[in-house]
Amino acid sequence: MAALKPSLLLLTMVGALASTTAWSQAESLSNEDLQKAQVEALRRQRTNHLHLQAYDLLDELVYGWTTTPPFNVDTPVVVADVTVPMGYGSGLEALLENHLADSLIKHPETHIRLSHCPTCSQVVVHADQEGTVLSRGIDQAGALKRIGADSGASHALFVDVEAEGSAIVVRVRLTTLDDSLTIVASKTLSSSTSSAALLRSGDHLVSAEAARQEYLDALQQKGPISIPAKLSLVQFSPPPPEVGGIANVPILWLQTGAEFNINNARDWSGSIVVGGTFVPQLYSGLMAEVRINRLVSGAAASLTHPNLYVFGSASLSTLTGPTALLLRDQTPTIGDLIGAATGVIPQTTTWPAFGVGVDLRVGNRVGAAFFAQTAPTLTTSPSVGRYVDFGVVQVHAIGGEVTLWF
Amino acid sequence: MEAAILFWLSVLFLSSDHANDPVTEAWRGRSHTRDLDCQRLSQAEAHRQHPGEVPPTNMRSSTIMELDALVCARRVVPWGERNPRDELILTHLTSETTSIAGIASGMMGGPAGAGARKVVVDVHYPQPQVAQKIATATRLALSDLGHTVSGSVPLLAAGDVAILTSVPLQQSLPIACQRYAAEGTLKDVDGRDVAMVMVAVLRDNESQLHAGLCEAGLPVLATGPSAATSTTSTTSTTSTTSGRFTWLR
Repeated sequence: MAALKPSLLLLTMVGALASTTAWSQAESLSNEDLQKAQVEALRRQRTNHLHLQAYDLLDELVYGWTTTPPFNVDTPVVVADVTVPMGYGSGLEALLENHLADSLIKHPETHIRLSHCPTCSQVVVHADQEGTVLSRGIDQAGALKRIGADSGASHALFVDVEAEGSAIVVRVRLTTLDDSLTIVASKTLSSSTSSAALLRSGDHLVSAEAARQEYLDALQQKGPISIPAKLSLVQFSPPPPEVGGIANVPILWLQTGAEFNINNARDWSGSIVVGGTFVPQLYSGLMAEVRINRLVSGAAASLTHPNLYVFGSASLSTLTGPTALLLRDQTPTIGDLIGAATGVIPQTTTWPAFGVGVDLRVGNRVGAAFFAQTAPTLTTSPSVGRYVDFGVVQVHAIGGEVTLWF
Repeated sequence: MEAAILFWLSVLFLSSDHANDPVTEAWRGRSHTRDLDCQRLSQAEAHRQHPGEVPPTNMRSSTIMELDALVCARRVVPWGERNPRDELILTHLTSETTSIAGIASGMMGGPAGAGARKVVVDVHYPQPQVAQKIATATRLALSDLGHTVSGSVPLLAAGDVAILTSVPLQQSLPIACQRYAAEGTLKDVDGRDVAMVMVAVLRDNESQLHAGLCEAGLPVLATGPSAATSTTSTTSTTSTTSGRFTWLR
């Protein structure tokens, strides 16, 4: 056994060395691949953002041409060159060229009829008395007339997209397709990446002003007043066992009213709602509540992300029926219940409540809230317990609600 | 506990809603912050540009104090991804080329001045892609000012190019202008004079775009051996045109 030890040790060392080398190679390879993948992912992410901005500007360009066409009559035009920001590849060029072609085809009022010009982008040989030139067709001044004749086009369209700081700038020029390449129409459009791209329908382009108005309309979609419809459920805390009261049943409220937004940011709002309830054999009732909401998920309510509000409320509720007897200072007896059924004992209880809660809303269309209430006049009721006791304030009831805004 | 949960939820929502606020992103490091392009705007202008994020001015409070907003946007291409000089030039491409076009247009007397000449643009920059972008931007800036701009660029003979590349650009641009004029390439297809706006970066370590205006000057008489009679002792007189080069900036 002792004789085997050196050989085992040697074998272990060789194995470890081999595995370390293999591991380091694998690690370096995987790191390199990982870096490439990360760079590629980053590039893809940026390109996605950039191409939306560029789409937006190209849409704006085509819209401009629909209102003020560069030509009075239908004119064949070749898309001579589309260049993208330095560092971005030909994939983006093809994407933008296709989008522009799509927009132009859908808007014949621009009077631009696209012609296919494979010679423009292909490397061609042109020879004349000044020499022989090998370059892209569109870069050969001497060959442009022939290219124009071959493609049937008289004009060329050049598009250049560049990232200038935080803005995307699109420069477009329409030139004659001859040796002079004289610019007959040009447009420079710039956009800031601080605002999201306006993804408009390709077959219904609108101006930037109209798109902005749509945005503002969406921002102020319902004006300062909206009508909520709520379904809420309130559950009083069951009494502690030692008191021996009877646990109350949940109270269901159907509410509606009005909500007032102080400004378009919808960061502060107030609401007044009235509600009613009716559960046969158990209770029927009415309530009114005022509430103040404060947005906590941002400076202004988002149209695209959920908005979280906190609120404080004050309400006055009145309940009639056997359940109302449970909200009094004594536990109802059989006699009380019989008295209530015969009308001898009035079975209506009215109580104020104050609450706080959180309200999560999506698009100011639908929301869900959770709240806790304290009912100061029910403190002595044996059927009402406390979920939380802060000493001065007790939480007697909790509830949830679902709201739809109209 | 509930208060703590609410607090952290608020922080989470606040940080997501104010993604462009450099203050909330300061913890992400200096390089991250450097990639923000920020400008200070009045509250009214900031509200006009970002109505959902900046509230409108309040008539009463605006009389007491003037509020402004720092509007930040992330650079499309972060610093360090492209050649620094290319990046600097491309970042200010619009303003720089607009400035050059404005000066050139003024020198030419505006679009209607000097016989409404056609303008061509030539750019000297080591990186061809950037040169093309500078040329495009300058052409469109001139076109926006009302000039007739040609997309083609006059060419010089290979011998001229070989000589011009051996001298500094400060000298080679005026010489090139002379050669263009002498070769008669400062004319369009109709034979009318064209003006050439030459844009260049003169030194390897600068990012400032310089520009000059090359115009065909008065014809000059040059006397010398004609090509046809060079083997003989006879001389001939030919008429060439001088190039007038003016630095714009």
